[in-house]
Amino acid sequence: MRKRSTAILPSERTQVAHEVDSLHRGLEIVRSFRPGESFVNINELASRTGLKRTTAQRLADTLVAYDFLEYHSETDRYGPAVACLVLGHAYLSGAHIGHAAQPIMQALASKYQISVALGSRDRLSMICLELCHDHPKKDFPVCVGSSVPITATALGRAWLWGESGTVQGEIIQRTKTEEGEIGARTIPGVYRAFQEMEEKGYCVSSGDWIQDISAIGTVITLQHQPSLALSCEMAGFNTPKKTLRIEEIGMALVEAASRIKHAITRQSAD
Amino acid sequence: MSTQPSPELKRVSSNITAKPAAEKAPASSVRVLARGLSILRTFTPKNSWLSNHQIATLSKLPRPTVSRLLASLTEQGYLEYSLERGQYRLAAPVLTLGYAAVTRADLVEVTKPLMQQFADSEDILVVLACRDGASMVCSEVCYGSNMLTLRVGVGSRLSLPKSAVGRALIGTLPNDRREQLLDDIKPQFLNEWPALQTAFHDASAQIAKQNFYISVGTLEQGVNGLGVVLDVAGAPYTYVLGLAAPAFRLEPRYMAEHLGPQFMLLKQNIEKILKNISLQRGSYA
Repeated sequence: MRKRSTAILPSERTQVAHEVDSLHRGLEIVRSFRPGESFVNINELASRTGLKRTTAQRLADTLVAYDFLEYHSETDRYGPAVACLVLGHAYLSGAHIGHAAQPIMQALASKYQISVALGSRDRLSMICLELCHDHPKKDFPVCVGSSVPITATALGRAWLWGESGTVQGEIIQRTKTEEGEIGARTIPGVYRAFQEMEEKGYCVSSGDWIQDISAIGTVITLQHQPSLALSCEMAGFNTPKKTLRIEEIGMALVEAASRIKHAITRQSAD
Repeated sequence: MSTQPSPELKRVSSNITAKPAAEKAPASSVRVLARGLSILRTFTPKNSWLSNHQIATLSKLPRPTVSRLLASLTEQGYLEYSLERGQYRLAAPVLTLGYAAVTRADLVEVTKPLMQQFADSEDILVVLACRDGASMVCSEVCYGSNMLTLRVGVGSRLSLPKSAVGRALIGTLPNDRREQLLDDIKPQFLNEWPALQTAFHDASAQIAKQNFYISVGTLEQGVNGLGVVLDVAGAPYTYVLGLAAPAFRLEPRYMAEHLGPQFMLLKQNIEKILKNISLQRGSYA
């Protein structure tokens, strides 16, 4: 069978751009659900996606027919449905990334009593692919599949450091335009993180994204696939031994990242 | 792939009520979305890389259409394309398509340790499953220490009409929803339907009597199972807890008199904790 030498160019599909839009818009509706959110009414979905109510309604009904959403007639609201779960599982079990990284991450989490997250880029965010805690955490604000902003987190900043100047510039620019004042405030922290990455191979963010949570991040550069980032999160840093602890955990994190890189490379070769 | 519903023919899923607007809407305005969704749904854990041709076959869509939609999905980041293989696979951004919303982090956090505890103490397999078409998808799986012979993992599919979890769901649904669900899946099981119907009646009778369903030996040879539907606010008839072990290890009488009541306690425990956890977890997103 003939293989395409490249993925199909966007220009090949311009004649159907308006039709393809319904795919894009429909998926935007599914994306607009937040972690753990089980019901949203159609007006709210329309306003989150910037669509007209009637358009959102038509798309939502199609999403229902394919089990991406379900409609609760009692409350007249929509919720995410089983196809979202199936698709996420299919990615997670097909990609093997979390599987390769999990034991290394868990060992780190247990040793230092911290949470350890593995992330991959999506638009202006990092998606959490795998998460390990030293013990179950009820209030931890991240779960597998949830997103954190690139420029405001150690996870995202470490990832961004590993990218080309073009990608860095684009993401910083888009953060400023799309996230406004809040986005712009995160940028000095990005440059600080770049400097730390150059010097030490990890970067630290203390309460930049969520108050009282400090994080250390590092990047995992892979061949033939997008880079990942690894970070660990812990509550506060208000002890005199703080600097020492950051240094110790930072170095352990960099070491874990290198082991994860090898584990992923080995699995992809299989 | 036989469990995948035919996309263009698939009816509105039975646990929802169809909105009449869907039928009146001009088909062309949502056709692209419908086709894109059926393409996404051709990817399963077993076939992680797929060629354009395979996707066209699985989704029953014309190849040029598939090419265009694959380009769009790749451009949006949901698929990645390998030059080397000439194939596509799902990419991490599919996790942004409702995964974090539907996995109910609270539910997983509450249920997993309790399921594991149960699996350990009885040395059996415990699963949490949700329905997808004619199958039950395992969203959590916990093994007891000696249970490595049963090959079920997260994302595994069990047959809706033939698994203990599926039959527990069928036996628990209110009559109208059960009828609609059975109408939906019947065409896929025509040859076995009379035998299955007997089993469904048995499931309803068992649920009415004891709230859980026990299957003995019949489903997968040599495996006994038990299922009970979780009553979760906002997601009724969605999550089913199940357990399984080789038949020689689980006497039917032990299942009815000991495991069933213990499993009911597990169910009630999970439901009680969930009720106490606030559902407002979205504020940080």
